[in-house]
Amino acid sequence: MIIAHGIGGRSDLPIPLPVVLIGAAAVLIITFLALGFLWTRPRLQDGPDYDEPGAPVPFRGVLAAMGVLGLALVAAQVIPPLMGVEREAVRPTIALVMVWVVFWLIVPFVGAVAGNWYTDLNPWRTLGRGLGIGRLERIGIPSRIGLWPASVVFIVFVWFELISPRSGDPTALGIGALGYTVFLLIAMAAVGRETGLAVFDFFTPYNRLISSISPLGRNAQGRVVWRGWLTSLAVIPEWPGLWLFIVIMIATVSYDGASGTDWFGSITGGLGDTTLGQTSLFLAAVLVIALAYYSASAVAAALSRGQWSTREIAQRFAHTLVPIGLAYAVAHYFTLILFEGQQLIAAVSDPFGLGWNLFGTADYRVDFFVRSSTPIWLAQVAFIVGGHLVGVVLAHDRSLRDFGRDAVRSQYAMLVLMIALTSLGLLILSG
Amino acid sequence: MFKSVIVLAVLVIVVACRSDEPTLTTTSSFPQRDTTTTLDDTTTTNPSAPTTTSPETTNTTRSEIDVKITGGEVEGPETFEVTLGETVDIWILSDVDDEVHVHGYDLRFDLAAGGPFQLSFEADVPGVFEVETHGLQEPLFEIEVTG
Repeated sequence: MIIAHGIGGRSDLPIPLPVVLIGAAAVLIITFLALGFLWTRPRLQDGPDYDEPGAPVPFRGVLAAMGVLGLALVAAQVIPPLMGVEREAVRPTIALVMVWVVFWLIVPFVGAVAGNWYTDLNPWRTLGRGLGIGRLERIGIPSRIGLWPASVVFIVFVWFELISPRSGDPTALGIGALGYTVFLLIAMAAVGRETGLAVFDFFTPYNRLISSISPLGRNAQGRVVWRGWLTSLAVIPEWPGLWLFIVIMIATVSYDGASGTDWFGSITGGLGDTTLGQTSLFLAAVLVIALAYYSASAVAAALSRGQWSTREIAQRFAHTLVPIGLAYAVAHYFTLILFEGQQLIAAVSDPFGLGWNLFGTADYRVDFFVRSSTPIWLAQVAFIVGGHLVGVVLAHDRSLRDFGRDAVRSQYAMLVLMIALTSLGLLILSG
Repeated sequence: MFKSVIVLAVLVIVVACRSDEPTLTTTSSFPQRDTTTTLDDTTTTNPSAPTTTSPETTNTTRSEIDVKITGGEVEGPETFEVTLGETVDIWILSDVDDEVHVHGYDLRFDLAAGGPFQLSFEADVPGVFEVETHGLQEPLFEIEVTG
């Protein structure tokens, strides 16, 4: 297997075939039950009701401070080499755990349940605010260029994580963090703080999309309101490039998982041995899933008898893939969070890998407290099947709104795609 | 049903892993440096095994991993399968000085050119673990601990 995350040395064992088959059977049963027994009127299409007064966001200041502190710790990794200090490369420094586990995995996953806390954590918003940058918002940019710039940044970030040989190098992460900060400060100054973040900080739409699943949202006054599960996902703005952004999300974790399997290695031959080869394989994965999704959209468009164009369908159904993408990611990375996340305990005592022991925890070793593989396998299958179920429900509901009487027939293409994607997820986890 | 399949799989792996070759044993703990076979850096021929070997007879729950690094190329399987609870003996013969790191178990040891090195540890955590060297870009191999 290729070293895949810049962190972590333990990967899950492949799911055994019987467990995979039971998962696959559950997927088919869920799909057919959904066709026959789900509601016949759209329920999730009108968006959340934010009438309640709501509650203030808890620990808002603490979250903002944590975000800035986290960014500072990552950026400060460039200091030791500048001073000519040699790192003791014994354990991951804090930057690796902060970026690849906390920022990249834990923040969005928690947001799917607790609501979009990245809004307050986002260190670049806090910085922009503190520096008084981007007070003047340029209106209309998000609806015009949408998520295309964020998609490019997304691909670059994922390339750095999964393919770059320097993803485990704290100095490289420090340089990346500094560069990204400069990039966002310029973007915010040019088009306004919120616009700049929405368009160029891909973590903003990423966290926003995933946290749309959460039952907790914020009303117009920014206060926390109970809005109900999934009510927000169906009404996310359909900015240009939305569908591709979500495709990248699915392709990323698919590529990461598949590149570790034996069959992927035998199909791609020696291509996976070089950085360039891996880059082409990753872009090919994005392309294949994009084509599959666009083809399914084309079929649905044809079934709508000219009522909808392929592009419209691709945008209208993009949100239904978010739960599938999230489920993939959670199934894939939850053991990484449980185990490698513990590296944070050691890393806080020696944040720069210089042999410090600030809090006496530098020698902490990861406790692999789940000693049996069976619960891990069952949880993985449960996540994947659960993501499929939610995706099917969302697609069904959207079909009812967009196709009315023809809803059942028109959603066939999307259901086939979802079964394919879910099976791919199971196949990847089975090695 | 799962359990029987898993048990069967484990059995297959156990049988597959049991090597007929004599297992190398050492009396001292890791990292074991066999100085008797250490060669000069300029020597082109490496011994394929240290001179002091004795067949393993007492402990049946051991697995042996043997790889050779020559000119940046790794000789040996990419994946080794071992059973949970087994003692794993890693033997590496390298033509350059390097540092070896067993991920997850978080074990490190120095590798000197020419001499075979042994690292033994108990595989008490299931999962797939990478073993890499500081010098090589690609991981040496991975250990799949099942059970």
